[in-house]
Amino acid sequence: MIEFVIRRFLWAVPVIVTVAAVTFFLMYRAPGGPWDLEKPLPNSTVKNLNAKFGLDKPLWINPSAAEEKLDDGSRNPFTVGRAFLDSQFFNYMIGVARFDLGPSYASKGAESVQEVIVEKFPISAKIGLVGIVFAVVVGVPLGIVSALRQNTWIDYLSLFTSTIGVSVPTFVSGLLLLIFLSKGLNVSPIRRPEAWDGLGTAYLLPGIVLGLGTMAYMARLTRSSMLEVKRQDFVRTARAKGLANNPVIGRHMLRNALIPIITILGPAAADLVTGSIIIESIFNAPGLGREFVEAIGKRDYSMIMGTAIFYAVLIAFANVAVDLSYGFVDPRIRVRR
Amino acid sequence: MQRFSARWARLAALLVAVTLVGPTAVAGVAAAAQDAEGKVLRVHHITYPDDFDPQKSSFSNEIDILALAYEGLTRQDTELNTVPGAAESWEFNDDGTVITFKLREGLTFSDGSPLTAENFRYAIERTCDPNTAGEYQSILDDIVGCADFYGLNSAGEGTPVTVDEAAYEEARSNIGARAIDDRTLEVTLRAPAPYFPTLASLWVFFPVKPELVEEDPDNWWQDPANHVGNGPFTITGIEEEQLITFEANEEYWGGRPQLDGIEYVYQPETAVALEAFRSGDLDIAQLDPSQLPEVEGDPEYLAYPVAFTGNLAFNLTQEPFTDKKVREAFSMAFDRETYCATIRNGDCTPTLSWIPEGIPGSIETDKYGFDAEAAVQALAESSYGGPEGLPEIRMFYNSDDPAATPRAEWVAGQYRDILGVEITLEPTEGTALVDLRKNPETFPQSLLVGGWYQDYPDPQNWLSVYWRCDATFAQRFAYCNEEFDKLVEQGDTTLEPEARTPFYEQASQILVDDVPGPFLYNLNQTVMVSENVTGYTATNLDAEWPGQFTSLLTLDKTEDS
Repeated sequence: MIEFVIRRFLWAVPVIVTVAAVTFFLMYRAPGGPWDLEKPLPNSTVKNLNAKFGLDKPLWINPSAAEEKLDDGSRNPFTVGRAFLDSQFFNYMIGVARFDLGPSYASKGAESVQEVIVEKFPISAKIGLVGIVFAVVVGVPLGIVSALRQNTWIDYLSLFTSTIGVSVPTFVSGLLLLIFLSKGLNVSPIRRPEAWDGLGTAYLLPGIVLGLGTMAYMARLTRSSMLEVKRQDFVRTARAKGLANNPVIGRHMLRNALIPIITILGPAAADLVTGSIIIESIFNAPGLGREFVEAIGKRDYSMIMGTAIFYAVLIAFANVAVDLSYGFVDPRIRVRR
Repeated sequence: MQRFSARWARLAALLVAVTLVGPTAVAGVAAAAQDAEGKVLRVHHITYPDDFDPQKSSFSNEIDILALAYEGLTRQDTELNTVPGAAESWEFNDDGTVITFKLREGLTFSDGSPLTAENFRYAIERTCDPNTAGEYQSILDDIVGCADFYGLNSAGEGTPVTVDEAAYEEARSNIGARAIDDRTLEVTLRAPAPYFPTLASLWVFFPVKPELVEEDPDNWWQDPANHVGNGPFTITGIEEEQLITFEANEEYWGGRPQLDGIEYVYQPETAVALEAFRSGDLDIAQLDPSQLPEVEGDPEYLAYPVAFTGNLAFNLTQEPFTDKKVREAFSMAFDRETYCATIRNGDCTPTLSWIPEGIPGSIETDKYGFDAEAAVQALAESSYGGPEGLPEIRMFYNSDDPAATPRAEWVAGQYRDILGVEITLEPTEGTALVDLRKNPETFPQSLLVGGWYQDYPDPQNWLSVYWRCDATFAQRFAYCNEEFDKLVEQGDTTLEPEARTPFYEQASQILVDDVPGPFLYNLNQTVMVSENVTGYTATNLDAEWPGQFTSLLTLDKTEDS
């Protein structure tokens, strides 16, 4: 078991390196750079900025630096090799290995990317957690009931709720809820910064709006999954043996229906906790989602790289967690040595 | 089975209820009701700045914060005249190459410590320092030695240059700025620069305390405690992406402001901000042009011109815009009135000249204004003989703003209807577009919209910095007119303020005559201002909110009704 976990985590390493490399080169293919502002900067200022952030180095490898070392008489393979790899990409990856994601260019190096992540990810994560809890706590029971009372008013009501949840975009539902609250209950639509400390009630509304879509999806998935299990022989057997209704539903049906739900739960959770620019903008939450999207427009290279790698790590972890949880739900999938 | 299912059903009904009604239960939550003490003006902003270090800033939302907490040597009054700020007077030498500023007596920082000429000299040095790498380094090119200092790194081409300590120190000591005594600052200029006193009001001159900055030169500005300034307010709190709080500075030489404090509230979603304004949580709210139909006619809605002129930019090296007649046709076929009033919902004012009204050097003209018939005729008179002879015309625009596409489509439609010209629209992401604009090889054949945001209210900034043959901007789309250059050169070096204006007016007329890119409009800033807010004058400097530069002492807020 432990071996399995370790192996899975080790597998994440090449995945993350690949994500980093692809992001890096795609990003540099995009026209423009971090210093391309509406009003152009003089060349010498651009050079000052490039020198300051190491953007004057070659992108990929640095043969001229290696040659220089060789000309200087150095024969130490480490020194020469390091000079050869003294490029933007390798310097960045060496930094990543040391958990140093580099300075954010947009803030002119005032903050490092890891500082931004440490500061802002918790906000996005808390909103996402509220969202995922909401999605599961509401979505799964809704699906169960729909399946048990298929084609009754409650099934249709659940279908209606799910359709709304999936089809109404978050910027509509979020804005409507906020305006409804402020008009109807005279509550200010703008939060004070303190509201985001700890896990306050400020997280409820954005979390629910964020989780609506996932909730709807969960409900539909649970319903179809339950319907499938409902007609299985072992359910009939359980009932024939006179088992009470609740154990049949809870222990036999639900547990077997859970696999697809758990499968999407991992990526969905990773998706929700990484933040949404729309939700964070509407609710004025200083989260990471906004930072990521805005970084692309600003060509804030290190911020794009840092957040992309961070998300890759998160999703890799979520998938490992999902694989592990299968074993608990369904012993047939448990890893054997 | 029936019984249990009924229980499940009840649970489901409850859950549906929670989904639909639940958010109301959260009501108490969102309450933002924290009553700040005294008269605090709450101003909404859409975009939180990336940095606000005086010597590194360049955007209006950054300067908006700094201008409350700091003050340069000079400032502007509500008529846009340059008036004494931290300096009580200034004097040029006879040939206009040395300017001496005399500081007010007894100036202090907000913490009570003395503010001297040395602090301003330091601001200049820090701006020119290659290690600061601020975006506005080149604005001090007029000062002797500044460009040499920040240009140290660009000596070698391509490869990184390591500057040795001695060269750095030498370049640093060669900057033409000297604190003669505590109250006298002497600045040596490369050439006469009569606009320098106006320039001296800019944020790069804002005095920061070296001991607070140098410990962490990149990051000091994130801590409100480091913002010990000399402006009418002081920064008391910084909550990234959310809130910046200011309180009145008792030490300000001009006396204490009427307001006790100001709060900048950041909310990227303007619909939410408008709702907050309506419920009385904001005193001033910035609007998005899409909201303007909704607030039209509201007594609290305010639109005022800001110092931005937008134009339809042409690459003058590419056909057909090498032909002046074609440019004339494109200028006369553009219905600026309809564009501003209907297509942009009134967030702009039509113009046919470059320098906005109220700034010296601006001219009134009706040349090449909207006239469909004349436009068709001009195109017929061009070397192409009419729309059929034209090569393909591609019009680029910044597609980051969702409102840009319908505008561009309208413009293309107008040209099709009036001139019979088919235009291919090229929506382009913002940064990619900036990249294209770097030189005439890649500069878009036509671009909606180019233009200029003023740095300081002097015609030199509008004309010489943008349109001279050697200006970075003009070079990008290849505009060059030697007669124009001569005129602005004379304006830039004439010391007597009144004598300068005629040169600039003539130069402005040349720009109109040449039609390098049809001038279209001056942008309006659109805001909601509560009727409780008094004592402000909106000037065209106020790119963020009315009164942000010139009315800080008089701004006031009456009691909530």
